[in-house]
Amino acid sequence: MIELFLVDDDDINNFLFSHLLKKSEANASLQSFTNPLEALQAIKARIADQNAIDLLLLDINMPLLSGWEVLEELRADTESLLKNTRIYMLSSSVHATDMEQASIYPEVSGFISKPISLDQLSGIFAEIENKVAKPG
Amino acid sequence: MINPPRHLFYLSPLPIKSQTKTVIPVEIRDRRKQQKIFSLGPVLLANFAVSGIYFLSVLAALIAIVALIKKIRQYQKELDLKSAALADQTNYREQAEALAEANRVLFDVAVEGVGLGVFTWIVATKEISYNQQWAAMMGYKLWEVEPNSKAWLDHIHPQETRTVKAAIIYFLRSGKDHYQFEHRVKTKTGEWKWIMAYLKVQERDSNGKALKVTGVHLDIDDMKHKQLELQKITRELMHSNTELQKFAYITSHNLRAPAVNLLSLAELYNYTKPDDEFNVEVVRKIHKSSLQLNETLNDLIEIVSQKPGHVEPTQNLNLAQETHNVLNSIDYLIKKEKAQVNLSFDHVPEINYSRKILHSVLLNLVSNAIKYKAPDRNPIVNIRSYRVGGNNFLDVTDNGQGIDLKKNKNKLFGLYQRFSRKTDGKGLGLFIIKSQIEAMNGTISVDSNVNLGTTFTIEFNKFERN
Repeated sequence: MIELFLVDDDDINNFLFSHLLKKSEANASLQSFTNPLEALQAIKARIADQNAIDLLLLDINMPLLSGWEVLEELRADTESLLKNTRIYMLSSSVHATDMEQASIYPEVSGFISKPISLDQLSGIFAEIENKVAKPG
Repeated sequence: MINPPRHLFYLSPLPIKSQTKTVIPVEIRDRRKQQKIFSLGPVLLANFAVSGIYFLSVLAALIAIVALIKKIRQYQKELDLKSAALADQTNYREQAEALAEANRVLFDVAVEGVGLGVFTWIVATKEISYNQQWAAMMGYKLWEVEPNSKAWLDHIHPQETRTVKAAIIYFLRSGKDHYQFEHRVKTKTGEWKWIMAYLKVQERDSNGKALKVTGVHLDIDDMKHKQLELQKITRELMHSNTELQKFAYITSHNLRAPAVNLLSLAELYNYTKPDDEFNVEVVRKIHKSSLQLNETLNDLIEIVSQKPGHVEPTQNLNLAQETHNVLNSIDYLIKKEKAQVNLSFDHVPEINYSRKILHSVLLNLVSNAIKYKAPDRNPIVNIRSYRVGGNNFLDVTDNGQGIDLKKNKNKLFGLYQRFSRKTDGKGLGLFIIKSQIEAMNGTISVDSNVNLGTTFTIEFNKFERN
């Protein structure tokens, strides 16, 4: 079972994503958040309980906290624990400045320009499965 | 000069005379006779020797004379050389004087042409002698200028007095040969003028301490003003460039997000079974996305239509009346959120301002105050006008959720920054009213405490009076 966290203030995007996930027929459990502060609390709590998060999808452009700020907060608290989590940044438009930002955050695996496609999602799931299988 | 040796005449008779007076035994006499014969030889010899010596002396004298003549000639030569050199020197001096004169003319022309203030400063006594151009630069006649350091130092702009004095002290202690700095001086008419000061040590004592300093003051007022203006323009351009970049970033994001959602939602629609209940949800979300897209486009139009340099027409506005008009337009929001809006315009009941901008400002601030209310209490908004130091102010204070200014101050008036959720705020409002207020030469500032509330303060026409 893939543990998946989605943080995006755009509830329509989250609605669309949950349908895409259903369509992918992946063995995944999704928790989605529109409030980055609530998401931060949930992620921290989950990691504190020694439960892994396999995939974190983080929208960049959010009120209260940007995706980058969420990462910053997570870093300050749970840097080592996040190593097992694949992190993808979401944006409705990917800009050069965002790419530059990413170089500061090596924990970020990549960017996804919304909407995420079924192929992209399946590809990420495959990567996660392989990675999990290897150390097995 | 050369006497003949006198002893040559006396030598020969002397021994003979002494012989006649002395009684001498025979055998001795005989021996003497022999001796006499023999004694004549040395006399002759002596005579010869004397003559030789005489000759040699003459020769020596001659040689000496020749040597002397030679020496005199040598002296003469040296004298000739020296006098030639002297003549050369005189020539050189004349040339140098001519050059100095030419330089003096050049210097005078430069000093006059540029209006160069030149002065000499005796460090110990603080005496400074200024030239006429220095006085003229300061708006004075030379005789009006006190010949001391006060004439300069006491006229430095208060903002630069300390740094200039520190610079001078540093220069005198540093052992540097010259130093340069810029500052403003007050002229006779009371105007401030930028000058460039160049100081150079002219004399030092044996310990290297500066005794005498020569200085130049150049009027750089025009240049400096242009330089400052250019710096200001560059700052403004850089600022608006950054704003434009942010604008492009945010708008592309905010336009694309609803457009992309619309596409995806349309794909989710169940065409084969139109009465699927799921379709109702999809259509509802399509509606929401189209509203978002529409609002973002309207905001864009609002921003793009703000032409730089365009001046909004102003008129006398009754604050109470204008505020009531604005509150009427958001009556539904006020009623829905059970908001209370208190007005206090007694101190400044009227302002001369753009009606369009006043409405936009009030609409944004009041609706923000209500939208970002604290979850546990009904919103109360206080609007009041007042006057401080000849300027009109307007405060909009709420009891809402507040903003963490430590984190958000710089972003607050930025494009599309939202600090709360559960609202349909798109973060454009504060950006728009800030640029509107600034276009009217005013400012907007914010003070806020999380969970207590927020106050926005508008200062109208702040820069118009300067």
